[in-house]
Amino acid sequence: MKNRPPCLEWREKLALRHEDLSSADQLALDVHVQSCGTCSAALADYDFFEARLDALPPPTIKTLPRLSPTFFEPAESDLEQHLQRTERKVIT
Amino acid sequence: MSYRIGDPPANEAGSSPDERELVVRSQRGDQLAFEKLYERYSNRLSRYLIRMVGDDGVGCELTQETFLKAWESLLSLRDPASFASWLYRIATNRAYNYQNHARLLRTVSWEDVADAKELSTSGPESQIEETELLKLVLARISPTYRPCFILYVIEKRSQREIATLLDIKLSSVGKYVSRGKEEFRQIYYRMVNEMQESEGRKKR
Repeated sequence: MKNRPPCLEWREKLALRHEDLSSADQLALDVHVQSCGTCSAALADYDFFEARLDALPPPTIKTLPRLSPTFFEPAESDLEQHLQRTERKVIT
Repeated sequence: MSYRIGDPPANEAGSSPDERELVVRSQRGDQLAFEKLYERYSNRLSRYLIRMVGDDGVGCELTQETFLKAWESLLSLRDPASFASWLYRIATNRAYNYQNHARLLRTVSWEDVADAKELSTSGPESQIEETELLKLVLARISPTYRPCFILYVIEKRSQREIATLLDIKLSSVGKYVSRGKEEFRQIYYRMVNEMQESEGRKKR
């Protein structure tokens, strides 16, 4: 099976950015990947997928640059209702 | 470290005094202050949600819902400095709820999608298929790993930022990213195999 999961003890280091690893870990990982076909294939796949995801087109729909004018209305109407109720109580 | 163009420096893991002030003012009902928070977070939050659910329109709708929920519940936020992580938690829950609901409504296999789209192997169509495939795979990563995967791999956030935004241990971020990457890989190959088998059956 060509897409076997990478070795358990290297899995996490393999998935992180190189700069997120200590120099010692970077070196040890490089040595391991050179000698392990499974981890080497996994790393190549991770890089490939990351490049494809980076190249995803931007969303075709965007959020409104500002909140819609009606955004705060429910809260306002609740407040108005509350005020109206309070006023009615005061009047009666 | 890289950030997307148009974003302010991602200091959101530890919020600025200016942002805390905006949150406090919003908690007192200041709509203009909340508008400012919206302007600051809506783009990056919608990108996150779009990738979480694999649909541009739904992602945008969920962004609006997230801000509405945030506005309604602002008083429950005790620490204004943690506004960003609170907002991301609301957004993540919205995405999970949407997907659970959508799953209840219909279960569509990739085979059905492939049949419906009459897949071809060359031209601009194949590019669209590849994009759709990546979105589908992304949306199928386990909910536990997907937020970390998206923020680390696509949004290029640091592990520390992700830990703060998602309110998880720093040591969990690496684990979740690695599991997310491996899941993505396995799901991708499984779907490609399904597509090829479906194509083969159609040709026969």
